[in-house]
Amino acid sequence: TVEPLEYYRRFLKENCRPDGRELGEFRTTTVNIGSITTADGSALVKLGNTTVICGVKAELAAPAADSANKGYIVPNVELPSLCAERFRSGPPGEEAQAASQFIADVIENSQMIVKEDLCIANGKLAWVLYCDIICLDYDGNLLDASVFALLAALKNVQLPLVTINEETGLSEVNLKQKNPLLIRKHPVATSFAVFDDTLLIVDPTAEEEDLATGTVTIVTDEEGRLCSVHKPGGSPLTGAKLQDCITRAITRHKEVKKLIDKVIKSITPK
Amino acid sequence: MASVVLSEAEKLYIVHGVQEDLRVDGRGCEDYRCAEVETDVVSNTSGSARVKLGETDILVGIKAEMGTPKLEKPDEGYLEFFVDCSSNSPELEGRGGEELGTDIANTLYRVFSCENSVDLKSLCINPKEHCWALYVDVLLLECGGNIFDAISIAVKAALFNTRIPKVRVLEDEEGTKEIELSDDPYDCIRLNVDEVPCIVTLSKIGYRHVVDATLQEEACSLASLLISVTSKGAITSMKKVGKGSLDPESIFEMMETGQRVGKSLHIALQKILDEEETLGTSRPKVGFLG
Amino acid sequence: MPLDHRRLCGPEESQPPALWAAIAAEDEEDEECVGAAPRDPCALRPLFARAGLLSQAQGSAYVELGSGTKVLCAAWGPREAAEPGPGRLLCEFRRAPFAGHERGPAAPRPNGRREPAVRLGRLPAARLAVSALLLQDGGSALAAAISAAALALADAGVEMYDLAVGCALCRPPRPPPHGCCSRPSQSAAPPPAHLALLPALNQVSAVLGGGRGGPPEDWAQALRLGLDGCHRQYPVLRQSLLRATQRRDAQAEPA
Repeated sequence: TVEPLEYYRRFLKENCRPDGRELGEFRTTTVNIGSITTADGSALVKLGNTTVICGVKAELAAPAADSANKGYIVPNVELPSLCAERFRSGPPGEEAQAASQFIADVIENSQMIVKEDLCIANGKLAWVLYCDIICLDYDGNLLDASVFALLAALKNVQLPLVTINEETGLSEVNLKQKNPLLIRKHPVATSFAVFDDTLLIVDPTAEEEDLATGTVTIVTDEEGRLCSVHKPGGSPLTGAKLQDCITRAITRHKEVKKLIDKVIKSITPK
Repeated sequence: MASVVLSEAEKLYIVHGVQEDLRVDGRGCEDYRCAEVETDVVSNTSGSARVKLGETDILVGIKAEMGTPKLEKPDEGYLEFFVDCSSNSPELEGRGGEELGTDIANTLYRVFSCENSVDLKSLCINPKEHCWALYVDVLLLECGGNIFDAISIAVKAALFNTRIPKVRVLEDEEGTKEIELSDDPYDCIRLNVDEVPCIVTLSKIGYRHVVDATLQEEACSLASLLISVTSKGAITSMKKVGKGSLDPESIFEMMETGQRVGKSLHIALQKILDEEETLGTSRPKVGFLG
Repeated sequence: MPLDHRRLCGPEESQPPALWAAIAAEDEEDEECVGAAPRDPCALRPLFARAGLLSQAQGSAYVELGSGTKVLCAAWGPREAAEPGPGRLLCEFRRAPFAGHERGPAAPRPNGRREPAVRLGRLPAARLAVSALLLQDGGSALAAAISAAALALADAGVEMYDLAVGCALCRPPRPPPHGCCSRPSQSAAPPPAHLALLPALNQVSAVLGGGRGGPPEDWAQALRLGLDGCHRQYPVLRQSLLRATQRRDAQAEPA
C-alpha cells in the first residue's frame, strides 16, 4: 500500500482491520507443548503468523553466596536473523535485550516460580533453569507470545530427583524419577497498540506495531491481579483507557488458561 | 586466497595441457613440485618445520604447554591449531585472512580428529589434572598454490621434530601432588608420527584431476577434493572445496589417486626426516635466507 | 569469558544433571537400544519437509528427520550487494541452546560450520542470504540443514540448477568393517560424513567427512550409500515444494 496509515485509518473507522479482525480480537492462538525432546520442557506458540519457541534446560549449580537458598531462572529472548529481515545475526540487539528483561521482570514480579523451590541443598546445590525463547517468525506482539511460550514450556518441565548422599556428600541424580515443576502463578500478557493517540487495538501485527503511536502490555495472573504494566513511551494513555485494557487482559487470561489446560490435559498420559 | 587473473586463452592452454598429462611446468598430473623440508628452524619452540613447495612457503611452530585435560577426555592431552596468513597479501589482511585462517584450522582439526593420528594418551601427565597441550602455530609465508598439502606436510614434520620434556608426578603422604621436571634436557618424549595423515588436494581441471596445483591451475579449477591419507593408505577425512560440483564417479577416481599419491608422499617425507635426524646437530642449518 | 551484558547471565558454572548420573544414564541407553527395533543400516529415517511456512521470509522451509532432528531455514534474495563483485551466498547456521543434550553455546557453532552445498544460480552481482536454525539435534543436522536451505532458496524463487539434497553417513562404532549407516540417530557416533547431491544432474556439490581412516573402497561404498539416500529423499522434497506452491496459489486466487 502506498499510504499504509491512511489505509489503516479507513479500516479502523469501520471498527475492523485489514486482516478481517475486529479491534478487540486476537489472532488464532495455538500452542504445542513438549515438541523438543532434547529440552527438559518446551513449547511452541503461534499467534497468527508470529511463532515463538521456548525450550527450558535444567542444570545444577551452586547457589550464589548472598542467596544460599535460591536457585536461578535465566530467561533469554533471541531474535535470530531468520525471524525477520531486519534482524542481523550477532549478539542480541536492543529489542531482544528489552524483551529478555521484560520476561525476567514478569517471572520475578508474578512469582510464577519461587526461586527457593529450585534449591536442593541450602548453599550447596540448586537448579538453574535456562529458558531460551527464540522467535521463529516475527509478525508483531512478541511479548504475548513469549510469555505464553515460557509459561507453557515451564508447565512441561520434568526435573529428575536429586538427592545428596549423606556419606560422601556428593549429589546423586535419579533420571528415572521425575517431578513436574511447581508453578505457583500463571501470568499471561496482553498487548495493545495505541492508534492515533486514542484508539486501542489488541494483539497488533508487525505492520500495526510500526504504524501505532504507542504500545502497552499488561500482565495479569489467574486471580486478576496485575503483575506488570509495560508501557515503553509513545502516546499517553488516560486512566480510564488503561482500566479498559486491564479488564480485557483479565478476560484474555481466562481464554489462554483454558487453552493451556486443554493442551496439557491432551498430552498427559492417562 | 591470493588469486591470479587469467585470460580465457591462458585457461584453455592449461586445460588442454592437463588433458595430455603435461602441465605448464612440465609435470605430469600426479607429480608434486620440488619440496624443501627443514626441521628445527625456530629455537624457542618444542618443534618446528619449514616447508617450501614450489612458491608456497610455510612455517610451523609447535609449543608444548601444561594444561588441564578436556572434561570429556580426562586421560588425553590435546592439540590446538592457529593459522596466521595475514602477512601474505594485502587482500588477506583483516577479515579475509581470518576466514581463511579459521578455515584451515578447522580442516586441521578434522584431519587430526581421527583417534589414532597422534597418541594423545601419551600427552597425559596425570588424568583429570595435567596434560600437555600442543599449540600448533601455522604461518603462511608465501602462498603459491596448494597450501593445504604444504601445511599438512609442515605440521607432520614439526610434530616429528617435537620434543616434550619428561615430567614426573610426585605424591607426598598428605596426597598433595607435585610435578617434577627431569634435569636432563635430552630426556624427553618424542611423538610417533607414523599415523599422522597428510592432505592431498586434487583439483579438477577439465576432465582430469591434478595434484599440487599451482595458483594458475587453481584458477582453472572449479572444484577440488581434499583428502587426508595416512602412510598406510587409509583415508581419514575428505572435503570438497570450491564453487563447482563433482561427478560421483570422478570422486571415486580422485580417492584412488589421492591414496596412491599420498602413500608415496609419506614415504618421501619420512626419508627426508630420517636423513635429517641422522645428521644430528652437525647439520648445517639453512634457515630462512637459504 | 568476558561478561556478556547483552544477555541475562546465570551462574558462572553449571553442570547438566546427567553428569551426576553417569551410571544410570548408561543403563538407560542400553535399554533404549534394546527397546527400539534396530534400524537397518541403509534405512532412512522418515523425512518430513514443508516449504513456505514463515511469513516474514521470502522463502522458508522446515525439515524433520524421524522425530529427532528439526531444522528451520529462511532465505532472502537476491538483494543488491553493497560492494560490486560476483554474486555471493551468505549462509548462517545456528543451533538453539536447547537443541542438544548439553546446553551448547547460543552463538553459532564453535567450528562455524558453513553450509558447503553450493548452489549456482545464474546471478549477477547480488547477495543471497540463508539462515538456518537447528531446533533439535538428533544426528545428521548438517544434512537436514542442507536440504532445508535448498528448499528455502527454491521457495524464495531463486533460480538454481537443481535442488540440493543432503545426506549423512556414519560408521557404526563397533565394526562390521564395511558397514555404514545412513542417518545416524545416536550423536555419540564418531564424526560422520556429509554429502550433498544435485540429483537431476547427478553432481555432488559437497563432501565432508572425517573420523577413523579406511581404504578408498570403504569410502566409495559409503558415498554410494549416501548418494542412494539423496536420490530417495529427492521426491519428498520436490513434493513439499509443489505443495507449498499450490497452497500459495490457492490463497492468491480468492483475492
